[in-house]
Amino acid sequence: MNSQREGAVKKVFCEMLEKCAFIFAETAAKDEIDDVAGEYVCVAMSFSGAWRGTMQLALPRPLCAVIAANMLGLEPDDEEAAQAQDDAVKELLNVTCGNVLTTLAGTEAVFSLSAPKTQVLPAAEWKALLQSPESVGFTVEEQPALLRLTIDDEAGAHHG
Amino acid sequence: MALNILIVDDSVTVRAVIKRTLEMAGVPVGTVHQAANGEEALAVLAKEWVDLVFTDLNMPVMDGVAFVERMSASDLLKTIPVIVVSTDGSAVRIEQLKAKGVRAFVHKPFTPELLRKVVSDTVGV
Repeated sequence: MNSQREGAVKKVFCEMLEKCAFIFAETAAKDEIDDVAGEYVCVAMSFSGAWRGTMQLALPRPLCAVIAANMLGLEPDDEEAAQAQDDAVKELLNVTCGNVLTTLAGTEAVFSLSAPKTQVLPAAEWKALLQSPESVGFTVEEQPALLRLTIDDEAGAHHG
Repeated sequence: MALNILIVDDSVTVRAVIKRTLEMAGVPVGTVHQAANGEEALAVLAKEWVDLVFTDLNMPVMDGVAFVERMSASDLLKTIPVIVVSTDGSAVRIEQLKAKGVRAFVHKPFTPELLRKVVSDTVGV
């Protein structure tokens, strides 16, 4: 990922997490977040229009509950927050993706975003995502998170 | 005057956040109806009195653009103010939506103060 895209991904994800869930994130070196345990979740969506590509967010299952609770103004052990975990992280990715694209492409560009989808992420796929040059590492509430942006058409490569 | 509001979004989290933010902002909220897409929203509008609609754009079954077009084609529904709440930052799309009758656009994420101002500017409450 080039430095402009990487900078936008880092800045926007931290801002969105703070504004949507009142949680502070920090960028992290990948060797600091390579030790995974427990269940991980990956949320993914695609976009088309001015540019075409994908965005993926991977994070531990317990962090999803914290994000959902904060977005809804509930305690993390609240049943409603537990049920909204997937929905909340989908929305976090949706907001992040929309704002990253506006940051990189400006307000004249038009994009269509797909509905985000979640899946359980096996440890091997976390490692693959971690090693991708298009992913950026974060620590959120002392837990690891990875955000990957791919832009795969020539216009995107040229502008972004 | 308490406003009867319809919130249209496929995310239950977003619907809850909009409802809570309106309450936090001091908007006089009456009944809050919810729908997961444009088709469900039209069904709500067919049987409930609604003063103000908040809608997302990117939804399954019937998206926000098609929903707004259906509302603007109805003599009864086109008078209900519609506020789009979306991550879409395209100035082109915002202008297109305003041409279809959308009264205001709120870019996610939003603050209670912003939502309060947009509601006040839109319906004068």
